[in-house]
Amino acid sequence: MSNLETALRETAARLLRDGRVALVLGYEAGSVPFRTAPAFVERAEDVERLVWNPFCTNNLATYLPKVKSVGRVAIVAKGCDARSVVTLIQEHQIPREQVVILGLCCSGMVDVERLVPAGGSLAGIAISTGTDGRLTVESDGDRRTLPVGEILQERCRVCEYHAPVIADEILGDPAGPLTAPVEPFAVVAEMERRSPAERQAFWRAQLDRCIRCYACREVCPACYCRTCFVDKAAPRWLSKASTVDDNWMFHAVRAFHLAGRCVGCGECERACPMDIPISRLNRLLDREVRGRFGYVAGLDPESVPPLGTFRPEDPDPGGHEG
Amino acid sequence: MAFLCNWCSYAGADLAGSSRMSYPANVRVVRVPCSGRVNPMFVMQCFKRGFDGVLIAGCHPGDCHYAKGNFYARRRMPLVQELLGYLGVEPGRIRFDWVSASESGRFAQVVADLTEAVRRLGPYGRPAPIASPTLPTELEPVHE
Repeated sequence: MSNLETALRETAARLLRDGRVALVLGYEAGSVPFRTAPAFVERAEDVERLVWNPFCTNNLATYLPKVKSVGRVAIVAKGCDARSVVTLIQEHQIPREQVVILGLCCSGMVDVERLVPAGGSLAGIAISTGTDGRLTVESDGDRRTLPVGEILQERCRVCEYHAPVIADEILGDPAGPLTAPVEPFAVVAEMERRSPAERQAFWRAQLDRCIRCYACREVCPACYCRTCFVDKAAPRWLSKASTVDDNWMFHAVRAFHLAGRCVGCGECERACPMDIPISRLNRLLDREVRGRFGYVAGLDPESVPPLGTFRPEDPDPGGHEG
Repeated sequence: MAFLCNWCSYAGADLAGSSRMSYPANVRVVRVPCSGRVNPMFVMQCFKRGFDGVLIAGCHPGDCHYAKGNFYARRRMPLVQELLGYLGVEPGRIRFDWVSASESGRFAQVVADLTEAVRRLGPYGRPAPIASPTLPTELEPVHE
């Protein structure tokens, strides 16, 4: 058990015992190895359920609007999750006073699929986290020590905000063992080297596989609309059938609805059962919003999202003179 | 497909018509209260439904009937263009511009430019026919 886990449990117990919060949102061991599940802890004696390890991948901010009726909520938040909480506060989905942010300085979450060699199994693998940001992986007597970076999820390798930007309690060292982030927009630039026809073909092939299970939407902390546009009967924007055109419409609109709001937690892509690289759309818009409006999502609860405001001196559309 | 704001661009198009100016006839006009009314989903829906180009025109900045609708549009529409471009819709198929009520000539010019740009790009997103050796693309003539 890591020191952070102990500290987390102590903090959670204290908050619950003192009646400062009615609920602690955290992680507990999942039903299979290397998985965690969201934990909803309401009693101080249950804090032993809480865990903290490199598999606490869920963005728990998703649950905040759903559980806020119980009273004040404490949430275990990694860097990305804390930015989602900022977005929710900013968009009036939960008042700042009603959420206690237990910020955990995160060194990235492990991509379980990278742990095992292709075709291998997870059975017999044991993992322990070192204090130096390295992981020890043991399998069948074979012991390897890996820098966390080698088996991290893609979104963690490009993460710029490991330490929570907003927190009531900070656990861990904000200047902890971090590797420099990989250039986050390289994947966007790669697509831009392709011709329009190639892009069309790429996305048609990707979106053709979408089964419209809406896992991406359900897991997204910024997708909190009570009635999503896809579920509206009038106007009926798209068919319930998962044809490639309807899928295209769904993903294009969802990406646009997240423009200037998405914090890049990458949960949409992780939740996708068809492995569609959805978050590339969000990443493109993230880059554009930064470039055009100098705005980075999820940093300042007082700011207004870039598409909800304007400046008279914003650039005029191209091709227009006079 | 052209989304024209009621107060400036639609009046500009109207003036172009009553001044007997000619502009390409394959534009379909939708009158909206303001360029800020143009939901990005309209643009996406156009391409989904088979339009080859979309024009969004509104009042010049500062002239909006609702004071600031076109300022919001000015933030949104370039992002729509960027996102759809990333998905393979050539940026030349989307034109966002200002046309005032007196700029009938400008309206005709913008429509002509966009139509010409779209004509050069060809129809949008018609997938190539499936080439399959087992699927006959034409039926055998029936002989008695």
